[in-house]
Amino acid sequence: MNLSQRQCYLILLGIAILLSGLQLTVGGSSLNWWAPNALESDIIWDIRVPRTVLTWSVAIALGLAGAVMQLLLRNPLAEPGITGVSGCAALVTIASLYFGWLPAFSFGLPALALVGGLFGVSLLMLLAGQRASPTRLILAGVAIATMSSAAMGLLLYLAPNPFAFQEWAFWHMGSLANKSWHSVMLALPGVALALPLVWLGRRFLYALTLSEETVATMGFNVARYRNLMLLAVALLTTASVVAAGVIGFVGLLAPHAVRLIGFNHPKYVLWLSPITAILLLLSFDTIAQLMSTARELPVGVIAALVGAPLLIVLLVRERTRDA
Amino acid sequence: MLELNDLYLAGISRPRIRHINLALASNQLVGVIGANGAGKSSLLRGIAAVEPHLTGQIKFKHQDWLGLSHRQRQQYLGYLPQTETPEWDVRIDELVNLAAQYARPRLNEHLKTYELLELKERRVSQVSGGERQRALLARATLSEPQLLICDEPVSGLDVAHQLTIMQQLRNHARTHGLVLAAIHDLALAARFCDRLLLMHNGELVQSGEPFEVLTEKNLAHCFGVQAEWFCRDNGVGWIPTPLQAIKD
Repeated sequence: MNLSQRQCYLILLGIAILLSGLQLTVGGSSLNWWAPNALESDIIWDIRVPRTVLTWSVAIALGLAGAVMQLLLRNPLAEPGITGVSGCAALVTIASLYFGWLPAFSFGLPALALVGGLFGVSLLMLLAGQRASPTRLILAGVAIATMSSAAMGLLLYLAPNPFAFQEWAFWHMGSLANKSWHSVMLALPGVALALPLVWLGRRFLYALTLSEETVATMGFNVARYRNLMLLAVALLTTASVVAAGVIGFVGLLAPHAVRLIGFNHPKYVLWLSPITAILLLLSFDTIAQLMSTARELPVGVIAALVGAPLLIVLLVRERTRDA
Repeated sequence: MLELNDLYLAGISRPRIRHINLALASNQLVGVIGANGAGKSSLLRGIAAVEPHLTGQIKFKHQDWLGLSHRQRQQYLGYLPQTETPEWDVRIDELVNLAAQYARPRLNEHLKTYELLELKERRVSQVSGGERQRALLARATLSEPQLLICDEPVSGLDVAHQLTIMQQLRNHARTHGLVLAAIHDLALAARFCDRLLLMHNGELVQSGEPFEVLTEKNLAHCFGVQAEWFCRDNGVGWIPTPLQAIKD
């Protein structure tokens, strides 16, 4: 690969802007973009544009969280969605929303959901451990994801709000439909707080190409940096979950797409994953909108349809490598 | 240069290292030898400050070594653990310069020293085990550490690669400081090391020049083998050669 990271970044950014344009034009009603009337203007500025901005925010959160988790756990299968971290954040969000602990667009919501995210990521570390085999990580992740999913279902079923259970698909599969600037404002603080943390820990993540023991002799206080990165993962996961529910596999697909185009160094994986995730989520959301009829298809369904086969391919590859 | 005072490391069933006292001078290649489970790796890991339960005192250049911060220690220390598998399939030059920011000319000079210049664009998965080990050693020595610790740097390598790596370790000791390396091959240890530390059951049995340490008595006691020294006709290249295992 002869392209530098910057060149690749600019190319991906160009494609992302094109795809954003495409996403903006897709929707229930056709709009006159050059001379919109009042209603069309509302649709553009209060529905379409927030949806695109939210797609970027959520994708940055998912892509970066996936890359950080993979580099931190030294495991190519780590991802907040399939390891249940998102599920735990969603569980707390659902509990606070449907039991009326907090209003829907309170900034306390991401703060509370962060507790769920931190709990999920700590539980994963506890169950799977550092440098866990892919199988062990997936097993621990499946256990946490199943538990959080079941608890989510139960909470929504028992919630005093009669429409709560109808929201199950949104929280379970994730969706970018019917979002406003409020959702963007819920997602942005987590991303904004996590970015400097990841920047601070970037050399630690690059060094983790080698064992933790070696990294400890390279000038890094491993425990401190690990906790910092776990906090970043929890912040990013929470940011995506409170705004768009649990969208799985994007955090898995993005780092692998970066490796697939020839950038194996953690530096590239870390910083190109967010922009790759933007491309993926924009594509998935556009497809989801085009396929929708009366009710919009959750974007997580498309992500899972593409992501799950990749997970199977990766597991088979791991098995071949171990053999 | 390096002083160990009463180093002790508890283990599950027995202590992994027991009350080790030692002083080592600079510009030496020091081999740590002993049977499996003798405590070689524990001692090296202890000195590298990656054993949290180590007790005792280590002084490096008259400083409290364990009291230094990670960053301060890193200025002096290079470490190559017993088994190291890079998780990501990075290029050799990226592996050597990992998490460091050395300029290209300086990196290329270092790659040349370790005969890696022609391999620099290959990925870790595209080189042999020996070449990978050389790259890992090059990474550990890139900052020209005054204390280099290598845990079995030549295990699993063919004879030619073993000789290359041992020569590079000796060169590093001569130019930069102290090198400590756990070595299983006694002949290599005898040939390249300036000093040997013989470990047995977590204790330091003897420290000295190879011919002082590799005695028939010590080899029988610590390795359970009957061994003799062989030499070439011109008297150069003495090697201790295990002949047979001693049965209990």
